[in-house]
Amino acid sequence: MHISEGILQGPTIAVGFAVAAVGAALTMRKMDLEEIPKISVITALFFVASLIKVPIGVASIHLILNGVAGIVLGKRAFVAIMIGIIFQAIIFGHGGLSVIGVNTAMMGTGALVAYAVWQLRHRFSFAKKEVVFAFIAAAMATITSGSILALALISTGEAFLTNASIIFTMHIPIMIIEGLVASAIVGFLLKTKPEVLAGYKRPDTK
Amino acid sequence: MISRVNRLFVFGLLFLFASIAQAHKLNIFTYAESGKIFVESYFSDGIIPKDARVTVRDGNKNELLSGIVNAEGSYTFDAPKAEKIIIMVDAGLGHVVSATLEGGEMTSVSADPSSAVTAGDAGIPAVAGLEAQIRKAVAEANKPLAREISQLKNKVYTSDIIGGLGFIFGFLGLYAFLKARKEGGK
Repeated sequence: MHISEGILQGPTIAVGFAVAAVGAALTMRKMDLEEIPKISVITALFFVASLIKVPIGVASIHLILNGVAGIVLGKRAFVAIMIGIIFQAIIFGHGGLSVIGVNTAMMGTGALVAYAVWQLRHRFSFAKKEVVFAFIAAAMATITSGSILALALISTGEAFLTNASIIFTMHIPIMIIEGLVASAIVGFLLKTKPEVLAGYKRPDTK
Repeated sequence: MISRVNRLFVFGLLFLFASIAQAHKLNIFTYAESGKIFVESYFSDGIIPKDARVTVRDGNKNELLSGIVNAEGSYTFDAPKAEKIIIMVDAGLGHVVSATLEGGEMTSVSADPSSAVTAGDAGIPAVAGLEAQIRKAVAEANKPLAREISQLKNKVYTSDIIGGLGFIFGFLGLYAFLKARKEGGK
């Protein structure tokens, strides 16, 4: 999912940093002290998620978990992802320092979309809706990030156009896997600690 | 805020996967032989990129040639006349790696064996041929070694992961501490 260094040109990198800076500033407003432990746990999870490889046929992909970050942290996921990406770049060499902005914009926006989709669950009522919405939210996060990746690659010129078109087909298995992982995590959290999920509303007393 | 069971769940996940962790990074290995340049590419986990595109540019970024790697992830082309060439392998989805070859590196093994004969060799033709063969054999023997070295370089060690997690918790902990102090001072 990470864009490597040396592919993108100056303007795209600048836009990436601008989006990341504005996104972080907006989503960090009025942060509560008590939110920080939760953010650090999700940041840590996101940080190692890229090392978790899922084999698909001959190729293998790695988890992103930006959808899960959005589901658990809400808009604070953006900051968690930014910190995670910075450390992934420094320690694992994923992407690179100059593309931290672009990668944050890409995966952070996916997380915000996941949060928006996740919140829609309040408008519905059916059994296991949380698990269903977790799946949709994580899948939407993946495809949003994939689209931004495609856009970023298209900005580099025609050579990447074919590349960008295969991104969508490549992302279908990732969407499903991310969705399943998010559903499993949400299912687990619902049973054990539902209030850690973003936008949690105490169920009406029966 | 976060129950013990959740903490166990998260850390269980982390440690379960730490052992199989390895970065998915594209590597490039290039060498010259008999006027040809050989490019090999592979992901750090040993997977060979499919249909990766190889683009060769000269020092002024002009494209000289391009092509697709074969099933073994390698690509061969005649050494161009340029002083310096930049070989870029693009395996798609942002997996791109490049290598730069300059003058001497492109002709490490001479195309014409007789040119390898120096005056001191007393003009024994067999020596020239032998030298070229030795160079070829050494290059061949070094290939798995170079592959292994780059694999090791890109390997993610458990200590890296633990260190990264420590940085994250430490950084956010420091932030929380400063924030708490600021709010407490009000």
